[in-house]
Amino acid sequence: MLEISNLNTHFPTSRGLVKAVAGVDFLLEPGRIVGLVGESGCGKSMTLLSILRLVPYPGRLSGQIWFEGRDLLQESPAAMRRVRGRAIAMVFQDPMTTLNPVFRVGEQIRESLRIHGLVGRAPARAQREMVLSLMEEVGIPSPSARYHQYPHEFSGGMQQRALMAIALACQPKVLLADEPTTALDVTIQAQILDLLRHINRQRKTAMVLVTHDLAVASEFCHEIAVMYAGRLVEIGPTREVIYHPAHPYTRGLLGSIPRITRERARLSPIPGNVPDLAGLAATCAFAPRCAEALPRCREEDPGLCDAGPGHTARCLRLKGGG
Amino acid sequence: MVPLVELKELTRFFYLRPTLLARALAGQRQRVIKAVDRVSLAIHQGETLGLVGESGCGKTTLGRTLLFLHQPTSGTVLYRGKEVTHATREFRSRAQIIFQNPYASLNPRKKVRDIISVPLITRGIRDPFQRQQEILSLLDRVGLSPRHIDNYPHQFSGGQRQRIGIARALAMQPEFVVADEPVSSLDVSVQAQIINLLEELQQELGLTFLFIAHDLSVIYHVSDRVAVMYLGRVVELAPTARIYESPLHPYTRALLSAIPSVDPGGRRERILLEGTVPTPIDPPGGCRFHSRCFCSLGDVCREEEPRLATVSGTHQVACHRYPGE
Repeated sequence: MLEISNLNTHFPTSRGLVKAVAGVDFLLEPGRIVGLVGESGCGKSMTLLSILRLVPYPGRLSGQIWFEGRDLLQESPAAMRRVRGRAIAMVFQDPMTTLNPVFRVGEQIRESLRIHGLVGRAPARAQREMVLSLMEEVGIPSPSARYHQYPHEFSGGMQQRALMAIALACQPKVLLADEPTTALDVTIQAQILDLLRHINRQRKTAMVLVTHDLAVASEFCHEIAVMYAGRLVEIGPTREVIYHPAHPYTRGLLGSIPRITRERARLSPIPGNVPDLAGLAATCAFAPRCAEALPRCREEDPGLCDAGPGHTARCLRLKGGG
Repeated sequence: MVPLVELKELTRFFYLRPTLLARALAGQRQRVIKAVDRVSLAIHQGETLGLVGESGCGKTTLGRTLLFLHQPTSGTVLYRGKEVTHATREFRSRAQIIFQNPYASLNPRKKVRDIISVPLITRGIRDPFQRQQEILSLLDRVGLSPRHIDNYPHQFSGGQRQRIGIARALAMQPEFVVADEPVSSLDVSVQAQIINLLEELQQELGLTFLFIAHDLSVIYHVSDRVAVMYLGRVVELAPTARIYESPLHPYTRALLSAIPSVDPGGRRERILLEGTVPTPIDPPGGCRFHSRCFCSLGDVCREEEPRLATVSGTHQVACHRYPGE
């Protein structure tokens, strides 16, 4: 459905070329949910923005993004505008800054229907009915009263639901969600994830979920892709990645999470810090922090190596004879 | 044994004064935010008490009020059995705080050396050479290199700044530290480094922690006992293993069921709560949780506020379903 191959997003800066997204490949099948996981600055949000070609200046995109037989990177700006919000919709991290504070929430949802020509010249009442049914679908209680409220009268969870109503207005085939629950409390997070799961099952909407929380990804996604320093370091079915992590970075992340079931063992964090992306060499980006690094790791980029069925990781040790 | 810190009915309200216009035209009266409402807790020497709850439940205000960074509206704080009425120099030298946001809690115009010097001067270390030695050993203790001493806060990452904040708190040689969400702004790999550091320091220096966090996995990992707050009240208090294995209060049960987990074994039957936390401005009467409760007993929950009652040994809960012994 959505196939990304060798996607690169580069930013020329005074300190050198920053490869925010470096050679990312993945495939999103219809009705599936892929989780993009990683720490701040690893390029996961930039990957989502790149898919919709919303990368801020002076970012430069290259590679291919195949969607319904077309390469989105070759489309004209006008054609891209027809894709955005309609076939591929996006939900952003911070609902308060995404909604316009001076317009009523109901009107903002209606705007999304209008811009994409879904209401045409339908009478105002019919338009309102469509908005109300969308609001009901995303679980906003008493929609007819909420329609006339402003964003600041909504709680964080309700704002996020309003954004989802906007995103779902055009029945998109793909929903890109950038940390949709990060700003929310854990009980509200559970409600929102429940809603997303419901949408995925009912409408068969494929999703890419960006999150820094491996636990959220492991509960919610069919596949997990782990990013580090702009590169995809591991991708595979959720169970495989969680139980048989093939990349040392994924193992490090899993070792850093405090868990509730386990005897309270000491956490095993990854030493050091995330590298500066400016002028990063084309070798394994994780090697300087890796406990299992070989001398060769600092000389070549291993590329994605097979680590099981549908499971690959960017690690030299997986390469034959490593 | 006398607890190290004991709170009795500690309360902190914030008053919202309506503007003159609102008062004259709409007859609006003064409203009250009951951020912390009659909280009684004991924190014992050497333990870590985890304080958990959702945003706006008053956990940060509680931490600040018991250190007199906010003046309590009413209630008392006892330190080693003696009442503290305001922040004396003596109290400050024993009780310190690590703040939540390492980007806001360090003065951007001061070098690390200056930031850590202040508590040392307060402690009476006047000799600059001796002070430098002390700063270097503190930096070493929190895992920063000596060459960082003349750097400014902006030259550090979030995790490193939090280490500076920890060094500053330790410089007073405190016995008791309020750690207010010390890891919530950090990435997981760095978060784990800081949690390990705090645990090491606790063992070495015999520190007592009030550890405030909204992340229930972190709380489980660090705490000996856990207090759960909801809208300014403590609703449940028990040893960590007990509260995670057999939570009683419906809010605690819902909260624990909502934690995402990487291990399928750690997942519970999910209880989805309706709606969101009501505002602490004029909170609901009776049990504050009754508007969202899935096993309410009806009238009694709406009208009567449950007390924090002991149900067994060290397990306390404020719920009409568990009236206690």
